[in-house]
Amino acid sequence: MLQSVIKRSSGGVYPSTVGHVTGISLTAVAPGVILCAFIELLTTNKDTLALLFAGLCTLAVGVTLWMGTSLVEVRHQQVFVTVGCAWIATTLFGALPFIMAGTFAVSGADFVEQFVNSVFESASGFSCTGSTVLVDFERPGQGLLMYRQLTQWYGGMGVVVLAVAVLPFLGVGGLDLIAAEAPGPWSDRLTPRVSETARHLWGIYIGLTLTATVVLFAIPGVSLYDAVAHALTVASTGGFSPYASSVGHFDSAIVETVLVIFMLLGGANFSLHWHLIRNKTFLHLSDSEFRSYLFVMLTASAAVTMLLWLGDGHNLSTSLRMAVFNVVSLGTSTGFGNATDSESLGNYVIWGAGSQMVLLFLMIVGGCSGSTSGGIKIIRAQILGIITLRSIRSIRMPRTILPVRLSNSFITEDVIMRVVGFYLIHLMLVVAGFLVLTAFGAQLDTAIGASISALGNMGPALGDAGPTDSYANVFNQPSRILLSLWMIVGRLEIMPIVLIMFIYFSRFQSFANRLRKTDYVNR
Amino acid sequence: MGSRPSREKPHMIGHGQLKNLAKNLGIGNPVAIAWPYRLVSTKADSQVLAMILDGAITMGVALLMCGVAGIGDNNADAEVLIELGVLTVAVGAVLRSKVTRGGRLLTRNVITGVGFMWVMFILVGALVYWSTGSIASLGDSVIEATFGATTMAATLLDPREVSRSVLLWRATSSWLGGLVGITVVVVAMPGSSQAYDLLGYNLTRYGRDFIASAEMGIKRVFLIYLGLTAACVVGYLVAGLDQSEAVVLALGTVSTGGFSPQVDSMASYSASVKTVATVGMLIAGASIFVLWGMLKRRVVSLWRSQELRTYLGLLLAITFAIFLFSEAHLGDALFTSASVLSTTGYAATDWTIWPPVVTATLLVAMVVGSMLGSAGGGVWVLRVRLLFDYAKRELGRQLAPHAVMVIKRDGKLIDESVTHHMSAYHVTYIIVAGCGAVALGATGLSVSDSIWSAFSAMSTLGLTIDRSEAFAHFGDLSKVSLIVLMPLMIAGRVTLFPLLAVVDAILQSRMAVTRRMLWLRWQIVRRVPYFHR
Repeated sequence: MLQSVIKRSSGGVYPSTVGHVTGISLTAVAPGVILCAFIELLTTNKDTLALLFAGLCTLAVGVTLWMGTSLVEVRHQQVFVTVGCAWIATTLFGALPFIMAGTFAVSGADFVEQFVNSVFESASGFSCTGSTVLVDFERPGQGLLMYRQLTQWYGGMGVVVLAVAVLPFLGVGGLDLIAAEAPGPWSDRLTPRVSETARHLWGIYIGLTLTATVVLFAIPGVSLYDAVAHALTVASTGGFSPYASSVGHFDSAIVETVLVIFMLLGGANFSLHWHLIRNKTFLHLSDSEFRSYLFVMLTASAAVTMLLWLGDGHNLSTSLRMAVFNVVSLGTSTGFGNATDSESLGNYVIWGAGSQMVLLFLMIVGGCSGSTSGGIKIIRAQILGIITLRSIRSIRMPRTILPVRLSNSFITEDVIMRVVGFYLIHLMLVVAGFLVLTAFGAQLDTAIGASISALGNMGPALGDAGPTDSYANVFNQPSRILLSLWMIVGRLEIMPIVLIMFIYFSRFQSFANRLRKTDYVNR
Repeated sequence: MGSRPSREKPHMIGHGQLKNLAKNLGIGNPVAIAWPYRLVSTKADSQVLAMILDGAITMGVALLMCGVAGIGDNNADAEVLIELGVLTVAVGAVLRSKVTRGGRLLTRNVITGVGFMWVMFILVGALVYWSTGSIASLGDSVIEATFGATTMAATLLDPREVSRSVLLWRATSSWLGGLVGITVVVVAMPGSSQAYDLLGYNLTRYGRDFIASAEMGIKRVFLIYLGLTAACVVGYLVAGLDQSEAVVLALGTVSTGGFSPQVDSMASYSASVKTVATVGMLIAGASIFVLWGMLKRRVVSLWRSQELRTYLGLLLAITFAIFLFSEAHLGDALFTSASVLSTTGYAATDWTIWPPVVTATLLVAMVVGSMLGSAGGGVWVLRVRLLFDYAKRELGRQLAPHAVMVIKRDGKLIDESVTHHMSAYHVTYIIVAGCGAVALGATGLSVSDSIWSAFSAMSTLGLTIDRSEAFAHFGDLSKVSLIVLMPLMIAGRVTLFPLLAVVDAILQSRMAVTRRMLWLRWQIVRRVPYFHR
């Protein structure tokens, strides 16, 4: 049946899943850009033409690719190539509005500089990182700023999941595609049909965004524009804000509380939300990952509050507010800051080193699997912790067989190997980024923070690149290119992009030959 | 009662007879009378106790030697050391004659034994500094003893002020620390088959030759280590140092301790001394198997050892990076990279003023550390290589999920359990260092300083990167930070898992206690009618 469908749909057009999925992704992004052009037209009306033109360009290329190609059966290696290419294309086309509007055409910036900054901003948006190279927030119009918010929202649930949602039939690779893009070691199949699963996920996502908008708008002092802009960020755990001082612009405990709640929801597994809405079953507290997630957030908040209150000598209520907001903001990989200026307590760079180390730890761990957050994910951290305990116990009892259990289900050795492998590659990339960034002149803490932050899609880093600083002033051009790449690599959970490189740059043919012998020998 | 067979072991004499005698004579509690006699006449069969006492005797002999060598410089100090040495040897020898060590060494016994040995080592060492008055407070003495036992390059002593015997003892304590470090890995760990595999595939033939039996292994390790020290002493003497300085430096070099009789580490020494130190540190960071192979003149097959090649390659890469990014001479660059990679901690120049990228490179180098089976610390080159293979295989598995892929090392298949242990070790290493860094940050260090110091303690280096002063080491930190660092230093030296195994044992025994309590409660409840209904 699959073959017949492929034959029927591939008459006359070039068969390529990569092109097809990329085309759909671009086509999906384009309406958002055009919508933002209308917002721009109705508000500041500075960058309307740029947005409109960029949107039409994206649409044209997207539709051409979509219609010009047809699906073929997705084989295993193609999954990664497809997801990787779709993301790289989306990021590059996503930079178009910034380039055309001249957002980064500040004095002394040549075209390469503008291009790098635009791609950085686009990558930061689509990967839900939230680091910015924007210095002057007055320069872009409100529509362009809304587009910047919208990029994170697209990236949050993932453009490929969106593509899978609209694809009627993708063969065996559909769930693999989602799994390659979605955070976490595996992907739940909520419904028998994969495209239906993808649609349900997007449905929950849109619902969460709308709820956040309504709740935020209900708070006095928050305009509809602000409510939408920040709702797009919290649902996607992105981190952008249309204001230079981020959430510090409101300087309101109520806004922060609402944002904390929605960030926590955005950092939780979306299938749990789905079960709640669809089946009316509240599974959150019976899920060990969600419980650990809450536990980590509570412990970290308490620790940071104590450190700020007793260690640094601030008063309890301020310490609590700053600690909880920043812990949740970084623990869910959102990256909002509530500093009103660089001297205020919300700027965690001026905290004691102990609190900053707690935040760094949160940046590494990140949120739950199946959410929109980054980091290595709570579930992987759990599995890593359990296998460590197992290893320690096996010293004393070498012959015991100790299975790894999580939420009353056994974790297979295969999954354990995948988790450990992921962790190792993640760590190696962090170290590599750290070394390269210092080689380009960054300070130690800045480099460690930025490398972890970019790979974990957090946003702000430590040291010179704190929540109130712009990356443009801290990192030079090559560093920014590296960080852009790291953000996309981190968003796709490393494998797709690294494997594309692995395939194309490491004499793939000989590797494949060796694989065929089923004996993988390191010499 | 009838004729129930006695459960006493044959050599635990006549408990029953004594009991009868006491009963016949009508003296109170027979067991109480039997105890002193049993204590004197029986032998305990304990591998743990035997290890601890062997360690005590070795330490006593070392104390004696340091004391004797110090005669003529400061006789009061020398006397203290000699007295302590005689006492330790005497107590150790008397108790050791009461202990037998039967059977094959069990890994868990080795782990427990080494843990206690280190505690004893630190306490007795602290007594030396305290009773000679080199360090006024007992707390500081304990910290200094920890620096010594865990082969840190840090010190609270002013090497110009203290007497020769104390200086020698400080250097000897790291020498002993290094020796126990190698012995544990090379000889004792093979008690578990996995670790045996782990060591076996590095230089397969020599590995198995080397540790054919525990006694033989210990003897060989000791001889090689001693020979290396002697060669190092000769090297320093030829380079123009006086006797006591040469000995102190040699002890610090071979053990990767990094203790120097000068305040500025090695900066004030001549180029020839630095050259000797560079070579010495390199060899000290190399595996004892490699040295064994060299002695056996199997140089060609040595080169097939992947670990050695990686070690040397890393050394060159780090040297090149330092040379490229700082204004250091090539010699100084090589010296620094050898010092950090072997986790020794000598400094030829003040490298805290070098740009951040050098500091970052050195951080990575120190975490990687030396080769497995050396006195150095760190994760060890072999483990890092295996982790890379693991990661590479994982990439391959993503592309071909059903392929069966194995990791081979030097032509030998590596058991999956070994790779699991490796990765678990690595995760634990990062977690412990991370927790340490958080705690250090809370004691007032900066972010980069606390990360660096935590890893530095875990890999037994002992330096910090406080940029406000030259040659910054742990001795410059506040006492609170040092208290946080102490467990990290010990964890790093005993390769982490032993310490955690003890923690695990304590946790489990607590669970056992809870179970016992529940059982007791049930015993009470079931005897009280209607209570439990």
